[in-house]
Amino acid sequence: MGWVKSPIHKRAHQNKRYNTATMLQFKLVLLGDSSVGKSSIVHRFVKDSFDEFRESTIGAAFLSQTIKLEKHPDVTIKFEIWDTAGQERYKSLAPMYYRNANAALIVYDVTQPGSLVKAQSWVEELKNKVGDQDLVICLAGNKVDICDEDATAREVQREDAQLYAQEQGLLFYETSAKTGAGVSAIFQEIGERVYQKKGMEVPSSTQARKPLNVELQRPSTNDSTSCCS
Amino acid sequence: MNAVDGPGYLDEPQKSGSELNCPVCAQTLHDLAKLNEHLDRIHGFGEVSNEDADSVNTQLTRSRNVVENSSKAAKANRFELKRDHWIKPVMGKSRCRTCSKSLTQARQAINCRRCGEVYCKNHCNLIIKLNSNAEYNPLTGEWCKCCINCFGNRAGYNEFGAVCNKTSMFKELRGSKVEDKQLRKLQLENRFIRLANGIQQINNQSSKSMLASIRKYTEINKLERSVVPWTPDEAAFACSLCSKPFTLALRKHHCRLCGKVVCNESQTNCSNQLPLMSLIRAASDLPISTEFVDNNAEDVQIRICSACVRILFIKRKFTRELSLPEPSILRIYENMRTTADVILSILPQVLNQAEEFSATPNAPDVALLTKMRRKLLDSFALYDRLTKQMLKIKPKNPAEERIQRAIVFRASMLIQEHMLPLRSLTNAASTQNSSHETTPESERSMNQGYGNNLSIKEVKEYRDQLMVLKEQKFLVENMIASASKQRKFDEAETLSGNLRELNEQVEMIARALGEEGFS
Repeated sequence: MGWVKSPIHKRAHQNKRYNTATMLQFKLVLLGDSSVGKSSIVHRFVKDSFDEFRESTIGAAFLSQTIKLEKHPDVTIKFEIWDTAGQERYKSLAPMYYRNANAALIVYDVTQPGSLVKAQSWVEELKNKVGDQDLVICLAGNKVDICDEDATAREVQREDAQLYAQEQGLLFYETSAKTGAGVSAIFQEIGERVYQKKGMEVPSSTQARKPLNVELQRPSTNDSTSCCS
Repeated sequence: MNAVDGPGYLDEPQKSGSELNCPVCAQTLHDLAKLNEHLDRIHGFGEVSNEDADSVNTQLTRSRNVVENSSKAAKANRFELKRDHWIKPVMGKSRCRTCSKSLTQARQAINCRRCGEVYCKNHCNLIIKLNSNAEYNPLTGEWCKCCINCFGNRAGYNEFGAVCNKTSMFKELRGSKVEDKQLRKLQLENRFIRLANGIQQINNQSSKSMLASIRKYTEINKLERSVVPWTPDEAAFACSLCSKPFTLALRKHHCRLCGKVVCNESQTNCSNQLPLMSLIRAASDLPISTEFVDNNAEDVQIRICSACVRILFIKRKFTRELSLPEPSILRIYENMRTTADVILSILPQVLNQAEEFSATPNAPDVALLTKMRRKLLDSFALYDRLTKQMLKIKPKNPAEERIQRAIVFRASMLIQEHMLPLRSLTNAASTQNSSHETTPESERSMNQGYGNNLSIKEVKEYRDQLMVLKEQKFLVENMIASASKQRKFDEAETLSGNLRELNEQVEMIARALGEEGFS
């Protein structure tokens, strides 16, 4: 009996690895004017924390986070997030990070109309330099918590931004890194879109092999961090 | 004084020997020192200085006598200084009062001759004149060593007299004046506002009906008198500003803002008829309603004296002109000046380098020299361009034209002056190069130096980019280190991929910059 069972078990295991439990790695870049809350959104997403007095980013920061898609529970997506600095000085760094990205999250501040203009210029730049067939672009209006408290603070109407996003074919969300509203939804949606694009291109070849390595190493990683540091 | 300065005269006191008579009171004294003291004490010669020129002849001879006597007396009998107030230094225990250095050898210690305190040699090296009682006496004393305290505390040293601070008084006085002025200005402003608003209103009404238009000028006149009471004509005999008496030819006029009687002389410019609209425009910060601006209010003029104009409008004009963008002529001049600074700072370096190079030609010098020379030539080219730009500007007034001409003249002078040594340098360098075989390295650097023709702006941009990239490289290196420490090897791999990209980018920009890169 044991002889019969074990191959079946093995095969099931293999199936799970190669076909059903797909792990994909996506490169995501955050763009937008300075102090609109790019880093705050990322930190809410990755660490589920919010810092009221975050210092402005220098250069580009790197963070990663793994999520499971809600619509495809067997798909795991690992986001490699490049959080770029919004200051004009670091503008020359951005092309390096959006060049091979799968997704771009362009953030503006709903209380700052100037930041939407800047976001639009980023959209232009992405479309000119990368082309949107390879890239999922998402527009996010951050800091809605301020508008919830005080409706007069809002300078960019949701409808205006949404209309623009529709014209350009972008995903659109309004978020608040402070309360966490809309942050996980945005990454779910981005993951979903990228998975649809990628899933069609590469069903299992390069992307699927990677998880093998990762899964083998993962337990040891967790152990070492939990007991040594 | 020279007249009485004979050798025979000088010998006289010595001849008289031990017996001396006071030249003033004829009292007999034993020796010169006694006579000296007697003269100082009884006749008050202690204060008399040699410079007192307007004395009678006899007095002069006397004072001369005193000085001569004193010096001779000091030489004659040895000067004995009081010593009993000296503090005896204990070797090894006493310390210098100034530097607290412990005094171990008797040679090092020294007493201040005046206060008697112990000092080291270095801090008792000043000299003042002391009398035998160790008191300061600038006239008859002998030069003695003293400490810094005694030197500084002696009478007459660094004396400035009593200090009386009058700043607060001045401030008070000035404050009240300024306040007066401010009040005066405010008053005039209020009057002007009332006048301007009133006139505009009258204007507005007159445009509506015939009757009002007939009465317009009487209305304005009435308004003007209501704004400020006019000084009656009979009370004024002369212009209140230039004080010229009024005659049949020089008529009396009233300033509509201060009400004073002034003349209308074109030379002194005491008062003028000024169009209301331009006045309102000149004082646009005042709350004057401008709703009637498009009516033909231009024809209304009001007479204002020069004093009121100065108070109300001069400062406004000044601040407005200050806020205007500076004229292009100045902007270009500023650029020219910085370029000239660059030239002047590089030129001597280049010449030095060239000299060194001609003495001992070797490869690294060539590269440096080439780089500097290129920079210099670029600066000259820029300077020349700026000069041409300056020439293109059309001057608005004669003053500006003069300034422009001066700047261009100075610029051509500078170029002539400093291009000349450069030309000889070029020759030297080229002959040197042809005689000396150029190494491939130097050749390459030269080609590169001349090859990339980047404008200053491009260079600046590239440099900024390079700086940002290097910063990011450093950040990513740190991220890799921390990622591998936390055993997140997949992250480290991604990051190293990015680092490679960064390195490529850095190299690319460094290549584009060429010689202009950070050395």
